[in-house]
Amino acid sequence: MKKLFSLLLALSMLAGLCAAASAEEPVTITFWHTYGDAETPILDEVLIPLFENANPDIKVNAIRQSGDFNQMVVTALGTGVVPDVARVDITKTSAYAKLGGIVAMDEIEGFDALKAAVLDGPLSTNIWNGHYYGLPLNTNCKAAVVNLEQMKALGFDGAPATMEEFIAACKEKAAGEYKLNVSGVGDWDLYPYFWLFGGVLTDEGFTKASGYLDSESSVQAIKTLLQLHDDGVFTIRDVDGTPDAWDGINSRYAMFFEGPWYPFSENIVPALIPTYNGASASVVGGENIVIFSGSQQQEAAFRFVQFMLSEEAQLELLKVGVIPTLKSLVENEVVTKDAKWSVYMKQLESAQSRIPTPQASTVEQLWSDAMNMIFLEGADVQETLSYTAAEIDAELAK
Amino acid sequence: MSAQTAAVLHREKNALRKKRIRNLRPAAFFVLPGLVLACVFVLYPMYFNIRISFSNYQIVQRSMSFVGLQNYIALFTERGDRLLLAIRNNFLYAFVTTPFIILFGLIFAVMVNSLKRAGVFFRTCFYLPVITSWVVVGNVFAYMFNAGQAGLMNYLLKDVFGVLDAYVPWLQRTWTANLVIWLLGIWKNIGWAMIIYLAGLQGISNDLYEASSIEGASKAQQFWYITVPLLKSTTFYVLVNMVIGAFGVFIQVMMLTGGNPRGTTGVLQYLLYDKAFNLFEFGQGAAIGMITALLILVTTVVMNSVFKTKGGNET
Amino acid sequence: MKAVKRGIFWIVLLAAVAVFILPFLFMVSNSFEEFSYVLPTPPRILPSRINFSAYEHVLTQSNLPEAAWNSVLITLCTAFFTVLVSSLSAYGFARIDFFGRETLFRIYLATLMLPGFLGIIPQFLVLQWIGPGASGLIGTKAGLILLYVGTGVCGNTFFLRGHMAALPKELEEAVLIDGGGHFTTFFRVMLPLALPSISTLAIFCLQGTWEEFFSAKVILGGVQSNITLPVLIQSLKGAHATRWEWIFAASILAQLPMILLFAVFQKRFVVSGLAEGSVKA
Repeated sequence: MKKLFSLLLALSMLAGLCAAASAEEPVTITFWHTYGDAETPILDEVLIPLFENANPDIKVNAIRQSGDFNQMVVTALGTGVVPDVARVDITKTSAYAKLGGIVAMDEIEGFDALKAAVLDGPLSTNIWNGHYYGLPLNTNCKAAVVNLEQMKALGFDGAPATMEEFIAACKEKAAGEYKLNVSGVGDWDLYPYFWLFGGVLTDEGFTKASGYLDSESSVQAIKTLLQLHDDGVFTIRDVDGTPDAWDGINSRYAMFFEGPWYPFSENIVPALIPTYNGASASVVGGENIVIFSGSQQQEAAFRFVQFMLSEEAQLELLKVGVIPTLKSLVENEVVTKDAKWSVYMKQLESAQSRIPTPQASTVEQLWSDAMNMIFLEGADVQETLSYTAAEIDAELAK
Repeated sequence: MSAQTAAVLHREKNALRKKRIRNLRPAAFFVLPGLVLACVFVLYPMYFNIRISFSNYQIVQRSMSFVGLQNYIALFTERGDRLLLAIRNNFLYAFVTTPFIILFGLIFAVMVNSLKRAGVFFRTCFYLPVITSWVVVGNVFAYMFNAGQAGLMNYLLKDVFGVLDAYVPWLQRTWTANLVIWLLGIWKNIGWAMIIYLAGLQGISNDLYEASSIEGASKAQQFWYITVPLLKSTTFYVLVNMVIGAFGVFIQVMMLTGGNPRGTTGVLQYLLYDKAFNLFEFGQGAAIGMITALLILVTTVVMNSVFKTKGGNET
Repeated sequence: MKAVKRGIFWIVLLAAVAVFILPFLFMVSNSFEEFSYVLPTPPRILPSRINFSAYEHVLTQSNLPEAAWNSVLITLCTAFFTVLVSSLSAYGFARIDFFGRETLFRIYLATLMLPGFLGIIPQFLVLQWIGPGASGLIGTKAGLILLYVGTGVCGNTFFLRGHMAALPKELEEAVLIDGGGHFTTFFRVMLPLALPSISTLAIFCLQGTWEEFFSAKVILGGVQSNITLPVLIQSLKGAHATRWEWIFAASILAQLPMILLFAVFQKRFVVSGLAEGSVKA
């Protein structure tokens, strides 16, 4: 409590200072992100000028980072030379929070309004130790990427509605041709299938994997996948050495699951992931926006957060394919009228998030180790899942 | 030894010692700039590293609490044996790549050296991989050894030459992936060995070859009985560099396999990176650094003693 | 018989060259293409067209010109200061018999065995302390140059000391008798004599600095206007998908200066400089 008080005091003093300083010279905040080739120009040429016009006392220095972004953040944390605000992967947020590198945003005034405005699922990825350490900036999930010609050959007009009929058609008309593809055995790749076929990772509070990951339905889910693999319906690129999905979808695969960044065409279109036992499934991805503990301009940084979560900013980014996290935009016509966005927004309803834990990287390694053992080395499913569950328990207890 | 000579010796030793101390002043001008930089950028980080390896380092708070050998124990007892696999792979890398690098480096050096024309062209071709950055060749190799028909190697070996019956998922299987990592290492370093051998060849007098060819020695005999023995110290230099270099393998593993499947293609440096930057286990990362240093030290000592007893005065 | 042997010789040599340049050929061919994020199946070794649009893109749409200039500046400065510091220090070790010399040299040697990797955080901290402001020399070219020179100093001193120790002592003794100090000896005698090996060091240093990625990324990654070519190339990789022709085109452009440098100087410096000493020392 005392800590909280002193933090608030410090913040208010800081705010006071900022206000006093604003009259003379604008403060500069640094924003690290990993937006792509399409989104970066929107940020640099549209959003930042908008923000700076509305907030003449703040300048934004946006820096685009690349694939090794996590390593940059870790180094920055280790040395204290941090940006003020950053867009980070949802799976990393709690780890950075545990390290003490980012601030509990729910202690900043104005947080509650933002919290109420965003979707609950993506918001939950910001929780660690009872506090919110960020806000969801954009979300996504995997949906089915379907090759219409291939589907026609299998007897479907468009995407199949259920997995059962798709599997039956593959077995009947394209036996052994691997019409369904996934790249690897990591969590982002295999969780959608695992969930689709009835698997469960943990209890609802993400505290325990034993009894869930090694339950009968989870074992059955993996066995179903193994069977589809043996039947020549489903192929894992990293296990079978089959062509990559982005390449193969043009000529040989009928379907794979991917995020909204896939460059769709007339023949290759997005669709809902077909249901199995009446339910669809997918995995949630996306990024959160966080403020660093080492930032000297947290008040200005938070104003930038508020701006990035405004309808105006989120709509600009939606134009280039970034799914908003604002509840108010879910029903917006830009989303509902668009063929692609409507699919992804609908799919989000059945998408689950990966286990939100600071140990996420270790959990992911445990998962892919287990899957490698099962799919590559032929290990026993029940046994492998049982002790993987025990290992994950130990990580979650840390 | 009489007391007198002992006294003289003692006095001389003292004088030498004094002279060496006096020499500190002129030496300072030459050595100090380098020493300061080494202290700041090499020795201090090394000291820091040693301390981290015995502590539970928290990077944001920069707090260190001593935990003894815990980091080391955690590494050796981890399920999946990633550390042991990495050590195995580093040694395999050294054993497999070094002989090929030495062999081809020497052969190409001798061939290129015998050329009267176009030497620059061939030298540059063989040296091209050396000057190409790891980031670039990592990208290219990843694509050349892609699984399925998209990979250049699969396409060439199966579809063009018909050597393989089926496409090979090179980077997805332990041993083929290790093979690609080795191939990349060999391919990237042959040019360096060639240049060192070319330099060594400049030191062998032509008279030897002329005299031996008058006596009727063939080119092959000259190679085995003149070139190879006289380049022994050069070979040792290449050997030591390559073996030590084998413990620094990193980028190709990161770009080609990421240690997959299940750490069976991992190496020490990659594991260090993974532990520190992905799993935030800085203590364990630093411990891997220390283990690597120890392995390099032992290997160097062993190599030195083996080659000293076998080949007389080397180094 | 002789003709057959010559034939075999050339076949072997040309086959080896083919193997060596295949990856480059692959890279060059594919840099002329336009892929929408996927390389073609089957792969192409020869280009289907000659087109420079990928080159145009990286030259006009990315930071490549700026990064190239940064690379040139950083590489040249690093080489200059490396040569200066290392040759001074090598002379000290090779020619002045000072107290503690052997111990210190052994420490230098020992550092060569530790992987330099985890040093990045303490190195970063040091750079932060020695400059002005909160971030010090982080994000500056000077900081990276200092780091390169500092981390290389032990190995380079070792390399040059071997060469310098192997040079004959008579000339400098003459200078010393004439009343010149170590200062005169170093600049008048040692530098000219050791020039071939110093040039070798300079060239190896230029090459190593030019391609260095990890430190450059960590030190300069936060300041877009200061990044070097390898960092730029890596940043062309997208989060979800990559335009390979851009990466290949940028890689080739980044490689050209080093290829030229080697082709021009290889005989004079690399071969003769190495032959001078350390290999045999």
